[in-house]
Amino acid sequence: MSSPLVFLPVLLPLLGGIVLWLARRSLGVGRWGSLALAAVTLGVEVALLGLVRARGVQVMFAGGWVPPFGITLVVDLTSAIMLVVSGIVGLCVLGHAVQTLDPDRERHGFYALYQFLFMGINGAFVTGDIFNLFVFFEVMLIASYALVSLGSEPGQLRGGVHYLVTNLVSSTLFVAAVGTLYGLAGTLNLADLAVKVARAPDPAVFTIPAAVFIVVFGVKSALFPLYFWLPASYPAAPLPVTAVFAGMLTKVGVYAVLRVFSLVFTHDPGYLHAALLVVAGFTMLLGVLGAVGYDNWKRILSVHIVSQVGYMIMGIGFLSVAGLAAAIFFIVHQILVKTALFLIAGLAERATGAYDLGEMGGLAGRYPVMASLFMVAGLSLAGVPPLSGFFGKFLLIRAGLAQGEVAVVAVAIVVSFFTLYSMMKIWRYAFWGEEKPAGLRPVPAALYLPAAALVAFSVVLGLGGEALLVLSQQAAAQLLDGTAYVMAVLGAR
Amino acid sequence: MAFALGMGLSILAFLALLAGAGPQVLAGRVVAWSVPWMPSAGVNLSLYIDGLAWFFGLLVSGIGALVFTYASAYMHGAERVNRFFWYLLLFMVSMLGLVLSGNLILLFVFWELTTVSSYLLIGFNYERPEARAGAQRSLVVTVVGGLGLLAAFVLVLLATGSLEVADLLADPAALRGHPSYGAILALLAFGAFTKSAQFPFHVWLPGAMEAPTPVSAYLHSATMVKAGVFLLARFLPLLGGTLPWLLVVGLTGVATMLAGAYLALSQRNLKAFLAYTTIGQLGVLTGLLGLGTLPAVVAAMAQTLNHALYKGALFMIAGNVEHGTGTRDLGRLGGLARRGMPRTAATALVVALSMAGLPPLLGFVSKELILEAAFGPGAHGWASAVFVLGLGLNGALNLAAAVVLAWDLFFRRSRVTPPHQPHEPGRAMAAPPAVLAAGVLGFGLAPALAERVLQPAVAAVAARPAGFHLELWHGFTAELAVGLLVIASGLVAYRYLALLVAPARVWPPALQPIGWYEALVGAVERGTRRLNDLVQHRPLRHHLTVVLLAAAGFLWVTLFLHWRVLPWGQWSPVGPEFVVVAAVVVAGALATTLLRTGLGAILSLGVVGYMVSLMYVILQAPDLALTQLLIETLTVVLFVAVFAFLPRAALRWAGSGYGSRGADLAAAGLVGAGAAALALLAVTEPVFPRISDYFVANSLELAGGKNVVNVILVDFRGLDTMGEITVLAIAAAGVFALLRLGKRGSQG
Amino acid sequence: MELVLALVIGVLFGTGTFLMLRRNLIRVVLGLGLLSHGANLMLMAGAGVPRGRAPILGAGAGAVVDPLPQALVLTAIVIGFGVTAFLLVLAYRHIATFGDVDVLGTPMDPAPARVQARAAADGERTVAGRAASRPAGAPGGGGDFR
Repeated sequence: MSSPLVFLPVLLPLLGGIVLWLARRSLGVGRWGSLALAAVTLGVEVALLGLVRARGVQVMFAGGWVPPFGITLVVDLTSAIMLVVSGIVGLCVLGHAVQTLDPDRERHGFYALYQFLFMGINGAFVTGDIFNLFVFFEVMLIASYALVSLGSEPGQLRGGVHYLVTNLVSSTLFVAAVGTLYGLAGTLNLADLAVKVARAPDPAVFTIPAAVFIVVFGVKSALFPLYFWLPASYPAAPLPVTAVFAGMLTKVGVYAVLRVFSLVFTHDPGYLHAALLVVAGFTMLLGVLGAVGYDNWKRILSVHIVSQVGYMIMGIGFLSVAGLAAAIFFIVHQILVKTALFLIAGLAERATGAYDLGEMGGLAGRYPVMASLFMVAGLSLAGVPPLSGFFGKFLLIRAGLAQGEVAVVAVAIVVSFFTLYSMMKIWRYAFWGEEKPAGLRPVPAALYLPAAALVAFSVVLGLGGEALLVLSQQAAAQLLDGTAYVMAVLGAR
Repeated sequence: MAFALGMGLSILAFLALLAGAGPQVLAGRVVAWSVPWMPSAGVNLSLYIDGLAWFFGLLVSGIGALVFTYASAYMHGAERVNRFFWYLLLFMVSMLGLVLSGNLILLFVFWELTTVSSYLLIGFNYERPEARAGAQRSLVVTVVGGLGLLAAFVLVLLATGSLEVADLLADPAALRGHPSYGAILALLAFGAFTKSAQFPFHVWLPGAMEAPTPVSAYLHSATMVKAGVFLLARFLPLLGGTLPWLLVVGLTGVATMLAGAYLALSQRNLKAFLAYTTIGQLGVLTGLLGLGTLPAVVAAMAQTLNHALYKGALFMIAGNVEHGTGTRDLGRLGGLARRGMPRTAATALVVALSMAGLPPLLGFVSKELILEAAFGPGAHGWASAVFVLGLGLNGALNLAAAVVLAWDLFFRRSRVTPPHQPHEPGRAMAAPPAVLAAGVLGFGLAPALAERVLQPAVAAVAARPAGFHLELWHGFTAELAVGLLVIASGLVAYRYLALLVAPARVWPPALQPIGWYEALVGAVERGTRRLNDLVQHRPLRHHLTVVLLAAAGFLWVTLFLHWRVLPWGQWSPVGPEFVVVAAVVVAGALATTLLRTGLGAILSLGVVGYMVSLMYVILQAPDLALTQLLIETLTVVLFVAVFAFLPRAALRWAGSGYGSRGADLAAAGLVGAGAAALALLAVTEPVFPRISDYFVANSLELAGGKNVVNVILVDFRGLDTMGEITVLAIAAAGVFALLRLGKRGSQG
Repeated sequence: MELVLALVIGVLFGTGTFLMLRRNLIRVVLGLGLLSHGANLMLMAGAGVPRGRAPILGAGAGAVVDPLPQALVLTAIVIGFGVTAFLLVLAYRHIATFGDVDVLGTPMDPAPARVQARAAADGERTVAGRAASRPAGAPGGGGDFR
């Protein structure tokens, strides 16, 4: 099914970003314009999901060139789900940003950069071409580099250098890996690559570039032992930036692993996917232990991202419908809840002026809504039922045990305890205890809205998770089978 | 509002169970009902009311109504009282849901909700550090257990293909013979033990007394700790009757009944005293279920009823005593019966006698049953001895505890003075314990009534229609004789109480489970900080070393395992000009690395760039060569500009050396060699025709361009070019912001 | 020819890696430059050894080399330039702010004393109880060089 709608999630942020850049001096245009744009983009993405559900995989041949020669944009169920989630996060974080950001940052292109960021993110979700994936990665990354250092505070500069240099290494390796892969397969189109890897007389040769891709995507998605840049840089950025990074950026890396290692490199699961499982175990464990060791709201949450990425990679490593479905379910849950937790941190900062747990306390008394939101989101993150996180965890454990992967599942279970432990640390120090600091400030009701919306999603996805679960299972079946994707791109050949 | 809702709901649930499900259950049928929730995951909203669920449901809702009544007075005028009732409501609903669930995951949902709601209730007075710590401890222990339980349920699902309790009970032998039986038993028992405060996981229960007293009354009698007992009873027909079950469940129960009963006597705080006696009784219940014979099940159910009633009452009485005197320090309380609390004393006397197992109360009935079960035909002869000893000792110590509670607190003459002049509580606080006391008395005088209530529960747990008969007076039997012996030893224990508990008072905390818990948590806190200092708080170069070594290492392992696929041997001829250019590139790269001056290194990088451009010429890529030339020039200019604009002082190297060059060299070598191997792989001819043949063939005809590279850029792969331009534009915007923002005075 | 090309790429990656592991930020950026040259050549190597002339049609007869990697490298070069330019300016701000080419620790460090003195201008808080608060612009503070 060919549809130009596929391109809109990329085109809208691009055009919007240009306009917002040109109009950057006007705060009104920046705030309302970007909100409207984010809402429209979300609308398009929801429509796209509906279209894919109704009519199957949607493609667009850029410039009209037939695959595998031109660049093909492809939206299957997985891509469509990711796009919708990206739209939700984009809108909610923006809703927080327009209320909290300082005008200096707003006037120096925050809204434009924000849209460019989503252009890259969405581009990565829709592209069906490995080199084009690199290009969209770079669009996303350059926008993120600019955002992470926007404001040029000393902490941002230090974190920015750390972030940039590490990711540049990964980008360089990406180029090298694409070179090797093209040299071996003579093609760049993902569907075509899938066919060729499967038909190769000796597919083992593709294991080598595949290993490099694990490293490349591993840096982007913050896997063990490549994740150190993340805790070093995320907490330094302004909160809305950290929130959107936490929600989306690493997940683009995870999506790339999901796509490439369920479509193209499925020839050697005994080595590649086993490696993913080992990495997943360490990622989960070290991420959560790192989080437990901090006393700062933003840092705890940032390091947690790493741990949660491990869960997703674990699901991918299972390489089964159950495993991939669980991973997709978990990704959706995780993006929404993690973003929510950051926005709630923003609420607490508005009240107390701090992120350090040592400088706040007793918020449950005067901010019961904030406390409830945090409680729900924190429990959801830790996988306490009946919230979305529980079902994500349950599905992953079930998929793993069904395949006899006892060790990594055991790690996942232990990690989920520490997740709760660290969430309760925030609760205990920020929401319980004597009230402090002395001059608590009121939090405007409108600021609650984005966080509350995201928390509501977690509740809905828990109590009414069947819909997403069915969708995830369909998406996973589509991923693992691959024929629908290949057929939609290459036609019946 | 929450109060009205909770009160109404508990009464409603009680009546619905009694009148609605009662006739069915008493007739031996099961009330089941189910709607799909997440059918794709096997999770349904299933209700399964058999005798066991019915019995526990009645306890939860009945005592719930009393607790709500009691709390309405106890919490009067407290801060955040509305929130309290919401938490209590959640607690009750979760417990009710837990016992009535017909689907294991649904059960788990409620299981975790009891954990969360009890956490909120224990930490309700969150300004107190003890409340926060107690709440945290209960959460940590029960959540860890909950995770084990979840794993057990998943294994059950994988073993039997169903999460429905009805399906499982329909084929009770399925799990016992399954290969994962051992794992299921261990994980499930672990979950139950943490919840039911079995030794050594009991550490959280004493801390839970930080909760407002109505919560303690509820938590110790019908909810929370009874969840573990319920779970064991639920799974007894599925997992019980084996030696591992007897060993794991039975022996844990025996250890707990001894530890709890003994440690109780050493407590000075009334609520802590009660908390430890609860642990002892939970040990009794667990031990009986571990024994698993029909008499043991009968005894377990009877004692569950007895304990729920008397312990709920005792906690309420403790609340009344504190309310009336202003303290719950046993050292400052005594002789309250004569000092203004006679009615409380009467209630306390009744329930304490039931606790001690004396006639004519329900406790006597159940104690006879317990002894009967201990002497009765067990599956294993040696087990009998262990259980007789354990249960007998527990009975004796428990009796001593009951004497302390009734005699010392209320009736013995005492010269100590409590902070306040003792006075009786209001009606709403006096009535609920009195009702419970009436319960133990009524059931004791009319054991047939208790039998009627317990019959379906026993039948459900024993998985067969159970014929048993409850009587107050069994005649002169061996059990009676042992019972008298137990009473006698209990009185002796009370007489020499100070001597008895002396070891517990001096026992160092490091050798107690509570000490282990603190040590463990402390180790986690310190260890994770250490870990962060070790791996996270490092300069960039350390992290880069890890990244690059990991990348190269993984590549090398992969290459090593797939060595045979590397092309080797068929080399194309190489022209001298390429060798010369290559040599200059290498020299330039080395110069960039080795030159001491910044400018020199920058210019060397420029030389490398220009030589790479020449390589592109040789590789037949003229457009690329031109672009590379241009970009390299721009880059060098930028480098020099940055260099020029920076203050000299900043550029002077003030660092203290380079650290370990050896590791850097190793990383460089590994990465370089890996890249070379990768390049060899890249440069080979692909097995499949390249897609670029199409571009060469169709460039002129379809796109109207002679320069194929240009046509690819603007047409075939125009999207890449669009992205590329966007990157440049964003970089420019970013540079703009970077330079403009954050100067002194305009700090963002 | 393959071996020479592989050798060049290997040397570029190796020297680039070594430079990236320096503490001097400018050298780190230089190292990235070498690394990306190597990566571009690797992408170019995907075209195989040249067996033909440049892919410009109508300029002669016979086979032409694979044009696709050339286009890809072109894109990669331009993108790389954009990113490098940004990194350079970031490095400039970094060095100007902290007055030192030394790559400081991460923002989360309980940093060594020398770094702490320079980073004091942050006013940013470290792990609870270890607040590093020093008035901005105090003697020895990082902002003095601008």
